[in-house]
Amino acid sequence: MTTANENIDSNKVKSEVFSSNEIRLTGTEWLWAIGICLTILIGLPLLGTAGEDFEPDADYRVPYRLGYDYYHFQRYCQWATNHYEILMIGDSVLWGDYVTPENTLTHYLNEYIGRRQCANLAINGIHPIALAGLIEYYGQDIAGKKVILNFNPLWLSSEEDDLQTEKETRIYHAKLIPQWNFEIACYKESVEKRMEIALERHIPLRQWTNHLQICYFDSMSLPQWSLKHPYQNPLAQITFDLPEPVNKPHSTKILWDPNTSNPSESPWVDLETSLQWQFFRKAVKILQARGNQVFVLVGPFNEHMLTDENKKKYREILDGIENRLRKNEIPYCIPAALPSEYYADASHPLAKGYEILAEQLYNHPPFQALIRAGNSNESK
Amino acid sequence: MLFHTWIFFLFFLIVYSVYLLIRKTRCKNLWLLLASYVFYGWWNPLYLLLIAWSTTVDFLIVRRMAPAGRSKKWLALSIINNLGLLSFFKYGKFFIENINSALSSLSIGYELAMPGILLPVGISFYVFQSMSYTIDFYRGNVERETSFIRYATFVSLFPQLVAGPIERARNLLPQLKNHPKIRLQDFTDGLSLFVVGLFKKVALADYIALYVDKVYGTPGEYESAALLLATFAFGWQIYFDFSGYTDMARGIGRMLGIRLMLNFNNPYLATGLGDFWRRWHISLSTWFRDYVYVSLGGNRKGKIITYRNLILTLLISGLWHGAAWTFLIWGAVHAVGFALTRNLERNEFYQVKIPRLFKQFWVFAFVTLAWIFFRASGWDQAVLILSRIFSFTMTDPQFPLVMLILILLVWAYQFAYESRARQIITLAPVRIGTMVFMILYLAIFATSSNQPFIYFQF
Repeated sequence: MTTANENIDSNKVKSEVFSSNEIRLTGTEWLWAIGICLTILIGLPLLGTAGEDFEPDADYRVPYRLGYDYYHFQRYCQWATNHYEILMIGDSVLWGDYVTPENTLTHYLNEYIGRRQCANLAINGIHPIALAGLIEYYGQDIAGKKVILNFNPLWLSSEEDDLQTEKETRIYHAKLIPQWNFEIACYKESVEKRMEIALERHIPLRQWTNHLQICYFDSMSLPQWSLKHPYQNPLAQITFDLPEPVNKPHSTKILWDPNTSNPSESPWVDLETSLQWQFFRKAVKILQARGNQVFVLVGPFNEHMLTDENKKKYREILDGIENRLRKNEIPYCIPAALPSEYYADASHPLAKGYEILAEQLYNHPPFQALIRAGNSNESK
Repeated sequence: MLFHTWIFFLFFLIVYSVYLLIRKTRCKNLWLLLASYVFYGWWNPLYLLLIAWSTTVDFLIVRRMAPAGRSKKWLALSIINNLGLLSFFKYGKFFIENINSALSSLSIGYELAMPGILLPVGISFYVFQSMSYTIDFYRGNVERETSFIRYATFVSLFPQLVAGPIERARNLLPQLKNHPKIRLQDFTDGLSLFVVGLFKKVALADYIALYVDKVYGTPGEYESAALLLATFAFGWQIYFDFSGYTDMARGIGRMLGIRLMLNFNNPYLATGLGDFWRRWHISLSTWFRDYVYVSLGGNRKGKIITYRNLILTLLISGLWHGAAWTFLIWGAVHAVGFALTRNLERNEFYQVKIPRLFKQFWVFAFVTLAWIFFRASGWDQAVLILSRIFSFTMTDPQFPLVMLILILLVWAYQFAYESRARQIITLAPVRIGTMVFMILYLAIFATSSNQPFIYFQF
């Protein structure tokens, strides 16, 4: 506290003081600083990518812990479009939640085809609304290819699953959903956060720093990580060794038992009002606009867990999907239900289920036509 | 709306673009006022009623006061109005809690109903700013402002509205009256200040908060070292948080061609408690000096009255920070410390013979320990923390090295700034290198945080 005797006009004096540090740059110095920052910020991700060896094996799927690493997904897309003819995009059903990489649909399809033609680009846990965002923002390299896009009817089985409710719901991969579409009423993020998410999609550096966090800092920011590891050097963490894919199923607890589980009723939503369907159509349009040949795989879905009455409703929905796909001349396959014992839960098949599914798909004429067709960019 | 969010970035982009176009027209202040009200109303549009009320009443009071010859009754009305607002919205709950507690201890079975009042962000800042105008006018230190728009802009100017610096009418009103000359240097200076403030807030304050919140959340689970380090860290957290805000506010001001006063001047290099208060929250310290200490008589009425005035001023300053006994105790600790060391600080032996570093150390240690009362959730917790710190039981505090290095780097920089080494940090490569380091750190390591500033609650 200054005393009254120090009768100086402190405001006048202080207002003339620039700061209590010397970090004050002129215009030219700012140009230098911005130039250096940009060089480093553009160069670092490039160097990082060059430093990280990424040579996925035949049955590669994005490891579960890298599911939110969209930078890695982008990189894998780039790689897959150069090495495979058919790219398979979907959620955990296509990813193979209950099976090892050698028992996925992609693996069995490649076996039936007789060569490595299909790549598994599915992301475990992604909602169809987010999947459209994934394709739009991070799947730009998927162009002029054959694409199998999975439609999982499970997300239609209730308003909650279809994200139609008003009540705030935890949405996996919320950063991929449209931030300014207020139809998704259960998404309650603040305007500030929505804006931040929308902007950061267009800043590659943010994806790279997110990649660093996921790969080397246990999915934590540096501050949070340093709190858990107070005496470790964070820079030493960045080893440029990508996490090894885990060669085991992500989920192991089987939820469906054909002998003891009872059929139940699902409050299906109408296709017309379904958000999933709306965004699925959007995903198809984006892929087609990029010159891809889109093939839709509807299901699998465990019909055995539905009551007879409810099964009728489900079939009506399938009919609706079929009509719409046919009308839009999109090749598709709606495989027959698998035997009950080959399901792990409402939608995920077990290994044998995938094998049967692959066989059904392989023998499906439109799929055969897809295999035989040349790539879009080739035909061009 | 927080400075370190994208929404503010967009807001400022729009406000600034239009401002540059109209800064030489009469619409300039109206535009700033509109922007300031949008900025403030973003938290809660109802808050606007309060600021508009405070602004209108003080403007009209001075208007009435002018022909009546600076009447005391009008001044009293202004003070009652402003302090009334503050008391009701900020201290209402505190008063009722204490009245109920007193009634209960007297075994009187009656309780006053607790008001469901929301504390408007930054009320303590703009109320003080508006009140200073009426007092200054009464004292003849400032001319009557004839334009309501200009006066309302002075009270609500968005860069410093919610957490200061608490500007004086004689500094800000003339700037609003003139057409600002915005040179490239103003823009680059403003940008420099803004980035430094952003770094302080996002990279330092919010980071340090992680450790402080963890330890202070459950102090009973931590031993001496962890509690001491958390207290040390909190001292830096609150400094980075508050001075970061001020830097950003001053940076934005500069870009607008408005000079806002320096509010922090490396307070942890202070060599005495008086020196500390000349460096910490300068706009508030000088406010209390000019409007409380001087009004009480300052040092004009003998030693005892001077000490009484000093103690009262610091107690009120403590209470200004929050409606809780811990803030009053924090103010009391500083008051006692200041009263005891005031003469010492003026002593030639102390000034010349005692090593500067030693003086800086004891002041820092005193201020840091005093922060315990500021940060603790209550008296019991503060006592628990103090007793645990002085139990000297040592277990691994798990204090992140990165955090420690960052704090020490800033401290070393400040020491260099106030020593001969200043020549080194003034060199262009060092300045550019420091700026590049801050930008890269923010871009790569800092997470986007929407943590509000600590001082908003005051």
